[in-house]
Amino acid sequence: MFLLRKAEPKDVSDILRLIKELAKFEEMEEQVVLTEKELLEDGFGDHPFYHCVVAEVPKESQSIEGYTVIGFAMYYFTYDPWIGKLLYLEDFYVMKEFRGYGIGSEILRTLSETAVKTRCSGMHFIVAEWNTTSIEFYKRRGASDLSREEGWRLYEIDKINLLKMSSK
Amino acid sequence: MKFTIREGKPEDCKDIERMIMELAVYEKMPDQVKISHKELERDGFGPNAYYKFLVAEVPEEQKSKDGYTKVGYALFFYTYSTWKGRVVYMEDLYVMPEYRGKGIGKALMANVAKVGKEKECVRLQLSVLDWNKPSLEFYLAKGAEDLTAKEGWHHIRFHGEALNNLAQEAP
Repeated sequence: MFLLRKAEPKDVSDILRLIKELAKFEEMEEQVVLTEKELLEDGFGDHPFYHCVVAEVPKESQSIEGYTVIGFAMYYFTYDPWIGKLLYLEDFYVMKEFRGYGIGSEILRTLSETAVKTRCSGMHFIVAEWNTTSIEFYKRRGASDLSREEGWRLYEIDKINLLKMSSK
Repeated sequence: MKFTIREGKPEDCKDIERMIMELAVYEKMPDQVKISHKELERDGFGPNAYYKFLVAEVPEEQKSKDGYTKVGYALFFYTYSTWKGRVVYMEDLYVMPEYRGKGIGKALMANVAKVGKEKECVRLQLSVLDWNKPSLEFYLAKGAEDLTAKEGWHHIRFHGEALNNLAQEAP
């Protein structure tokens, strides 16, 4: 038994814990520098940079370490100049001991419902190419790999270079 | 050549619609453009704007052969990294062919970086097509890194029927 609900300010420490667990799975744990304070300010202030849903289980079903918030998805709205609004899924994670119960599927279903209701033309996200379990999960549900099909590559300019560019 | 870079206004949307199509033709996907200046006006302004844009404008004396003075644009929005925080994502960067090589693209991008810096963004992200050598070189010269090559990230999409099916899937 579980419930999905909108995240609240009190959830930020659980959200950060789950973010770190997912980063560990993606083999990039040391890259998480975000703090609870930033998550709070950026998600629950005047202009939220993200939206979040959390999966919660009752106290009797809590995790081995005693957690009841056992999954989350973070998303925001982006814009495609060809088709308009999109829902972008940034992170999507369910703790290992709670997998296989349909929680991940339900999260994805809820988000796609949100996308349809808010007039989004699509739901986009990125996946690491070695993450075959996740890729299969999405492909089974009709997702397309745009990097493979159309040749899109993700590029990034870090803070140092960003500052260099903005000061010219 | 004289030009100015300024924030986009609702009346710019017709020119943006024109340039979006020019960029889509360059990217070999013009049939994928489904929205017009109407949606751009509705979605780019007001308290719930979904994107922002900058326009590059030249004086009347330097207008294009077809009579346009708005000759380039950059369209961007804010995203979020659960590892690092606020990110500025540059969705489109375009300068009309007859105005290239004069520093307009550079200036547009520098201004996006400036806006990102003001909003305390930790990085700028964008996507490029793998065959688009001139653009790849332009970005690499500014210190961009190919994360698809470096970390294996692939863009995935659910749209149309796949999205609707997913929304209706029984738990």
